[in-house]
Amino acid sequence: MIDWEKTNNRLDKIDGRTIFFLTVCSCFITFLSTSMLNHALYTIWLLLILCFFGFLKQSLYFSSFYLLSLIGLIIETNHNISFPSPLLLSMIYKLILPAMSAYLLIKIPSGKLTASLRKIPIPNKFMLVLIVMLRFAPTIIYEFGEVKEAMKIRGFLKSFTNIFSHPLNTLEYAIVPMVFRSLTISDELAASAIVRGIESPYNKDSYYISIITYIDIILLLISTLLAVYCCFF
Amino acid sequence: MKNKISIHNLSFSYNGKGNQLKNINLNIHSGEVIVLTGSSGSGKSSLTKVINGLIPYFFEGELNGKIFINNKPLNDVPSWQRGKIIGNVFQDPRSQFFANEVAGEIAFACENYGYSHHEICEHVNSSAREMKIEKLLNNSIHSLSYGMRQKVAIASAKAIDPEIYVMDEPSANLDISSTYILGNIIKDLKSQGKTIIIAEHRLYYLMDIADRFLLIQNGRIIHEFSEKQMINLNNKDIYSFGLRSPDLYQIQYKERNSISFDNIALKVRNLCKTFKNMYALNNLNFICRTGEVIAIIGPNGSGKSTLGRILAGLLKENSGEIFLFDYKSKRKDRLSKVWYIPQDLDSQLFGENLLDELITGSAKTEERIKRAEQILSELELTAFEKQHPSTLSGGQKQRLALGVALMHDAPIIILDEPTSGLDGKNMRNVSNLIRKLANIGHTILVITHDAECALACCERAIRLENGNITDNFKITSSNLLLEKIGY
Repeated sequence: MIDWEKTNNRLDKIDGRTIFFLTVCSCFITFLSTSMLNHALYTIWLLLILCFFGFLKQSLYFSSFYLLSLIGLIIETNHNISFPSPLLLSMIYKLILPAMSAYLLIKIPSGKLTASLRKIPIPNKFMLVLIVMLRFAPTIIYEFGEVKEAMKIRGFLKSFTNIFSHPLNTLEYAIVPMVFRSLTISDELAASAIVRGIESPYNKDSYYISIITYIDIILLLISTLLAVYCCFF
Repeated sequence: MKNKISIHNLSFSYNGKGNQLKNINLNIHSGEVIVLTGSSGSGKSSLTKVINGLIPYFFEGELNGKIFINNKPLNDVPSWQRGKIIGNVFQDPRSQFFANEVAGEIAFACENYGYSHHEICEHVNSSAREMKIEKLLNNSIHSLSYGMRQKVAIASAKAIDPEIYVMDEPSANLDISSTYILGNIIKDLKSQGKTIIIAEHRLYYLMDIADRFLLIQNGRIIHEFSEKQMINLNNKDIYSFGLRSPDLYQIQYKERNSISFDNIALKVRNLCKTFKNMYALNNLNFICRTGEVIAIIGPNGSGKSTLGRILAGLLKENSGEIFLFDYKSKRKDRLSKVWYIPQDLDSQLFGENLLDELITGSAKTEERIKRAEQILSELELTAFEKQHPSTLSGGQKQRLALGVALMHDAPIIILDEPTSGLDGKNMRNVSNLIRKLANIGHTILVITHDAECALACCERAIRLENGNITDNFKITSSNLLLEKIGY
């Protein structure tokens, strides 16, 4: 049995609800914050959280993408450059924030996350959709890797010129097999869940213990205060 | 003996698309192990889905007849309750898993059936202990080998201690040693008095376990064999029923008069690849001549697919050299010359129909369309020309994937587990096609656990273990290959 007290992984000790709340806050800031500085402030906070949970390499990737897209956007707007599209760069830097918290969310054992989310008073149907989406994230990443490999074999990703001269074809080649695979997997996954009683009416307990600790409280407090500041000041 | 499952006059069709099951009458006794075998599409999987209740609850269609479990009509058992009586193990555990980590997956059914936290922990721990995977409880499922994943799938079914187990091609992705471990697990379950129904193409590992083998063809049970009758089937019967051999030693290896091409198509020198400071491939050296068919064998996780991917230019080697036709070849150059066909073909299908699949990504000239039609005809796929590639059977998809390689004139082709999940007939068809391609000068590497396929088409084998070549030998008899493969 996994001994949660002795585990060295800090993420194992955190409650799924805390990370879920962080994700919700990140989404709010992305859409409500009008200040680049405020957005950057919350991004720094999430980078610190990523580092705290031991994802140093990932925080480096996220911060590099964030800085590159932000610097690119500033240069483009100051010099009236329109390629690559400023809208695209703006979307990238804005979406990195929720992507970071979503990354943490999918790193929590899905059973533990389910147990935590079950304690939130949200409708069961909405929760099931959320859990299935989170369960699907690693599958999509894996399947996309397979499709990318197949595209390489077929020569669809031979060169940048090839990709940029036929962007719609490239998109179609990436999406069509993904859709077919996703349909098959979702069917198999649903069948597997049904034969293991997902629809049973019992009250559901979990293998994982879901308790709010002092780390959760500190994270929740700082995240809430920062989120309010970033959204409204 | 008490009847555990009774099926009377059962017929099923997927919404009028022909009958998948026709007039099935079957009594399965408590503690019996029943193997459902037959060619792909014969109705084996449909029958397992009827037993576990997925048909018609999830896979809708017209179902007639009666099914009783413990003498109680299955219809009277609510769909969510059936999982308490029947544990399921599917062919590809990857898409069966609901959790991303081992403990969560084993606990899944217990959580759904309202067990308390304490009970869930007890069930998970005892099930993991029995399957000897207690040390993997906090591992990610995605990091496990196929054999281990199958163990997790069985542990997950076992956690609620069902009376009946339904398994759909559980050995399809396993190497020989994992297949024998699976056989021992089934034997253990049988000794505990569990009733087990297995739909399976590979029969050899079930010979001293199964009580009855039911041969299904076109939706009907056409024969029932005991273990002794099964083992005594002659090759003619095995071929005509489209089965795989129940005893691999029965397979006669025909010494091949392979067309001898003297030039070296592929030369690998001191090839190394590491992942996280662990050697996936360690100083490999070998050559392949033009027209040779070479089996790459070895246990799961020995580095076979990594080797295939590096040779095809999909992965970068850490050190070493690869020569194609005497010229040192860089990774990008190998992409078009060494064609890699992975195990999972669904993510490889880009076309709207079979013809489009062959010409997609290149100019649709009259010449190329003619060439594509010719290839489809050679592969006996012309009849399905207008179909979407994803609607083809496993064997047909494999032939189509080879067709794409032919269309690109790839001189070297690497097939990763081309016959996994195929019945005997399709396995032989794919093997014959590989031989045909070799005879016209293609060099083919077949990464496989499937001894029947290797015996049917390969003349040499390279065995990998822990990233090292442990054997590189000419196949002179079936006994030699079976011994090296661990049969």
